[in-house]
Amino acid sequence: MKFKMTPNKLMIALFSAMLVVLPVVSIILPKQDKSEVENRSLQSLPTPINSVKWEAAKTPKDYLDAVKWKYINNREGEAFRDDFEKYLCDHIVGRTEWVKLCNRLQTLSGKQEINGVYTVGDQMVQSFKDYDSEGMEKAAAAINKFAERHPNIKTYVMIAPTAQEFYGNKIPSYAGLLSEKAFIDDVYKQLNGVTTIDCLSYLSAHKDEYICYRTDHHWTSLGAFYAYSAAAKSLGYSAYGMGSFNIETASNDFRGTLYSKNLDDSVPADTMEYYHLANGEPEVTMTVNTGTEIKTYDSLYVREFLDTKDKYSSFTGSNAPLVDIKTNIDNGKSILVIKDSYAHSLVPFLANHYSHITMVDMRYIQTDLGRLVNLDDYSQALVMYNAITFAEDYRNIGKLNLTK
Amino acid sequence: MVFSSLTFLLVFLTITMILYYISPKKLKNVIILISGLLFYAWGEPIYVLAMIASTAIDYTAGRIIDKFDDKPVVRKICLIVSLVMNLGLLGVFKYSGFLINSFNTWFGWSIPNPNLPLPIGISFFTFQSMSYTVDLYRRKIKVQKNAASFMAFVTLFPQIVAGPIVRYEDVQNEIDDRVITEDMVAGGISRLITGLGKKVLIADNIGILWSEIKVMELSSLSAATAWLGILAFTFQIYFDFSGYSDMAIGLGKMMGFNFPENFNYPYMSKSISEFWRRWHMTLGEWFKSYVYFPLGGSRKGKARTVINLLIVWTITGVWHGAAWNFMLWGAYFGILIVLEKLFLGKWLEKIPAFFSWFYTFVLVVFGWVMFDVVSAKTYHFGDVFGQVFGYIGAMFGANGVFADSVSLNYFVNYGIIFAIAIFGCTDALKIIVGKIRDKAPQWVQYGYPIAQMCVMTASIAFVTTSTYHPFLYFNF
Repeated sequence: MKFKMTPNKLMIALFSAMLVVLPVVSIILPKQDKSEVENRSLQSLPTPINSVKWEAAKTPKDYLDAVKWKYINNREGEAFRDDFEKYLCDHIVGRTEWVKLCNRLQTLSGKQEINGVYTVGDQMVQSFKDYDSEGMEKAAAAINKFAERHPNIKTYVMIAPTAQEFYGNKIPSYAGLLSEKAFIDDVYKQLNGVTTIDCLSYLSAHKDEYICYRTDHHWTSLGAFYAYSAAAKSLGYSAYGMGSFNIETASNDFRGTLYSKNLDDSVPADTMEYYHLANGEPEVTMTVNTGTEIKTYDSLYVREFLDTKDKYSSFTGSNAPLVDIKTNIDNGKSILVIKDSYAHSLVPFLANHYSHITMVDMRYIQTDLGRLVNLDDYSQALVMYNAITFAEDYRNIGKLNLTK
Repeated sequence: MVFSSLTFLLVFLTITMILYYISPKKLKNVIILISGLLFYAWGEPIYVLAMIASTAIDYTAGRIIDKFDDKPVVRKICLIVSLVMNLGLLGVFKYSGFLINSFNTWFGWSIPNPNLPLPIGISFFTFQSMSYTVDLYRRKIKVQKNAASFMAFVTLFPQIVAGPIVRYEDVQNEIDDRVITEDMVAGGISRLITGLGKKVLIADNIGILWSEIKVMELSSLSAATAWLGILAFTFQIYFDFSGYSDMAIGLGKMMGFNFPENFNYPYMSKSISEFWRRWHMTLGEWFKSYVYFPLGGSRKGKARTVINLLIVWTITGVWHGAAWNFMLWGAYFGILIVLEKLFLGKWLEKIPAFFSWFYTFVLVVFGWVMFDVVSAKTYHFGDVFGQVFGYIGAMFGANGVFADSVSLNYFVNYGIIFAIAIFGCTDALKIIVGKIRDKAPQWVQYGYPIAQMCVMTASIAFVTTSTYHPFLYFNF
């Protein structure tokens, strides 16, 4: 009998193919332990059996004891069936493509925000919709306390706006985005005894330039350059002009954190730039203390990160509790930077004016800051955050209270 | 195990179906039995024993009822044992904690609550296996002597955890002798994918809207937001539940079973009575056969009919969940159906169809308010009413705002899904597809399986993405 294709046969064939090909190919292909685009470890294949006990088992009871019953039976919390489903989802062939398809379908169905990110034209924007105002006040109070307890250190606060402030006007007002300017003004009003630095109006004047990455939540080196210029007067250095720098293109295919959230390929990749002083950069020694190891570099740029997805980390290395930078500028000026990662692309500019810069990340610090660094070493302290992390991370900023 | 998971779609289904199709006829029920137990034990590794015990008792009761055909007392005892055991399981696992908490709250008692978890699908499988002993007692069906076949009926995985409520009567011929045709397999696949799409693409997405509005401060809701929220739930529960039934029916077809239909475009109904003939039809049938008729149905006069209807609907309500709001929800429909039986039904037939549809739909939506806005552990009737009327108040502008930016934002972001959902609640697509299949040339017919594969692909994309969690804080 001759085989004749019918719609029914096609249905059966396609469905069977899908049910067989997807699992088989997924099993055959090598598994990744880590997802670069998601920046997390992927679920490993869970086992409901304690293998050590299983191998040592002799009696049937031993075998029964080797089974992780609770793990199998849990209704809440860690459960074998949930981990197994996660494992399948994490390792299905073409996972990223499936996620892209899902996100595109959501966009087609009218969803404007995917995982907290809006795309307006060629620009991704992280949404800032609400914050804990009490928490914000507590963070501000902790900064005030820090300044009050350390009269010898002059304290500055600079809160940077994110892309939303400049390009959010293209997002409909009913989406309920907050004004970062209003938020920053509000924080500044709560501060006493510290000098606030307004980089927003400086950046706003240049908002038509490439000051924010299209696919990442950070400012570009150009954005950081404008902030560096805005801070010059307060911090007391004379900022170099644009013409004094040689600009190196470090990467042309940078897709950042916002891309990781919505995987929107329609927005072109970013260019990442390093600004080098044309007539000789200062020599630097950068010591990065990750808490588990200490690494020393003779540059502020850790170029090995340029080969990974996480290219922004090439600025002063990835997030570490403590980064200490010594330069050969012999002016005795030293500054303690209490910061989020926005500071990473700002600090290379500051390094042209200070002999000593220390960056601390309050997320990793659970104690009196004075135990980690010698506060007497610094004449200035700069609290540098972007508006969204300042709003979200108030608890960690609040730990400045612990500083004696 | 849930149907809308990769564990089911890409592991369980693939392996089970291959084994099922290649095994000889005699072994197919054994495959059903083993796969069903695994399917159930994946979610309930311990209470699967309760299910096995209940099945064993019903099987034995059935054998004895059959053997002592001429001894009414023995038959009755067996029936009672089966009923007590099944209803006992339901009572202990589903209702004991709720009743204890209610009494403790009302009277200040302190009866210890065993806090038993609710085994998945217990409301379904107890009803299914009870139908067997009752029907056998009534001599409506023949006894099943093969223990594996009986067990296969109970553990038949497509319908084990969320229906349709397949009675033994529905599958008594197919359980021992069934043919699997190409039409059935292809039709089953198509039905499975339709159900998967309804659940994953529509119900789960529109459900996000409701889950957000549900947790908002009630006093902050504008009328439009309140309506959008409860309408989202209205569609979510229909597409979720009917999608699940479609998947079950489709899987059944792929295995050679014809399960009863469970939904028939309920939101097109023009009276509440009609709604309940189109919504969760197998449950309605079950209550009719095993509660309403034994109570006398409508044959014992008007007053008794009214009482019977109210009893049946109140029980139907609490079957949906051990909480007072479900009882209220059931009683609400009982009262509406009584009113329709008494006089409202005649009026509804006379007025233009749009108005009778509108009347039905709005009352059903109010029903969903009772169903879903009351928070868990509400034991005082006053609180139940308070929460229900609080929400209905918000729907009618009790907060003084008709619409705001929140409702506009939801409307823009979910408008298309709402439009798809509204379209999907009507039989328009069914009619269009039917016309195409009847009249279009052969090559167009190939578009149908291809379209269904697109739905399948999109569904897998959504299921996979549910675990997509870019580490939000990374890079700070």
